[in-house]
Amino acid sequence: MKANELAFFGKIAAGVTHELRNVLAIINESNGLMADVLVMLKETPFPQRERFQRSVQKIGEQVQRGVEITSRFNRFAHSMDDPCTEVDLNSIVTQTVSLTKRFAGLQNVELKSALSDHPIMLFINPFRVQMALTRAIDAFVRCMSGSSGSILMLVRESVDSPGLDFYFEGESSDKVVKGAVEAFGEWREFEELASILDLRYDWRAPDIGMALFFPGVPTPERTT
Amino acid sequence: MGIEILIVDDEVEFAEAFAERLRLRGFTAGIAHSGEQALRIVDEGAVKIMVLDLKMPGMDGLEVLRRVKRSHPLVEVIILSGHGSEVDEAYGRQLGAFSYLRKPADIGDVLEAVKRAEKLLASQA
Repeated sequence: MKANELAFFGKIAAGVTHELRNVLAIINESNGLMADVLVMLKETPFPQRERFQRSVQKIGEQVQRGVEITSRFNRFAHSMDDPCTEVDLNSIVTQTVSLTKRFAGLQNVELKSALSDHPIMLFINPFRVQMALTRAIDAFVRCMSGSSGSILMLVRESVDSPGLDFYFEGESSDKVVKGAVEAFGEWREFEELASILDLRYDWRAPDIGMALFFPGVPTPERTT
Repeated sequence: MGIEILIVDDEVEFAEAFAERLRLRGFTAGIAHSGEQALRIVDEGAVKIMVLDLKMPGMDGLEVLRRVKRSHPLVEVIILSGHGSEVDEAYGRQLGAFSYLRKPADIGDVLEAVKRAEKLLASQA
């Protein structure tokens, strides 16, 4: 997709999430009004009161869930606004995990992140980075399917080589990474995006499934 | 008694439910469904606090805010919008918005902003 096409898609998607927030706001206030009335009637005998209260509470919880989903999608849509921008790696990882954890969960794989205490600012295309990470995760998840394992993404804050390390819990790293690389198309897409973004990776690092390095950062010697 | 809190929002169902909740809590709340209507009501003189959406057909919320703060600087404006970006928030505050909340907001957060605005108004009286 060209940059202007991505920006157009992002604009439409952002508009839709804004409208959904309006819908959620109407549900929220209407539900809040019902909750207010229930409080006003607390001294009045009221058949099925508990059922009403439970429903009001469930609607409130689902509104919050809807808000979280639309907020995540809205941030994702806005990641298409600029071809390149300054963005915190922690935000990219948080966003990627929240958008992909459902797909991983369907394969019994849990996605986890460990963020840096400090912002790690990169000047990069956030949409393409999220896409690259998602394609890599997809490839790993396919190899771990049904194993009830987890993927931990640890943000590395070293000044010399900030990046992202992938750890595979409950599975052999060797098996997961080699399986992903050898068998699935998602990995090819990851490689293509990594090449465009100048991301480098090392999947033979000891104790780490894959270490990812961001542009302008020297890749350490491979440990074989 | 005139309108003390004016809700300005083109989403009719939202504005009506929200106003009703404020009335249940003892506030005198009115509704305007456009920026132009809001400015006419403010000109009548009873509005103390405005709860303002940003994206509306016709005059948008930031333009309403600009005009209200110019003609009625003592009216405090709380922006409540599902559309706003961080840029909108910064610009709104620059134009004199008292507070900025995102839809859907917890009624407790709105009431807290309203009470702070009332306190500020009382200190200016």
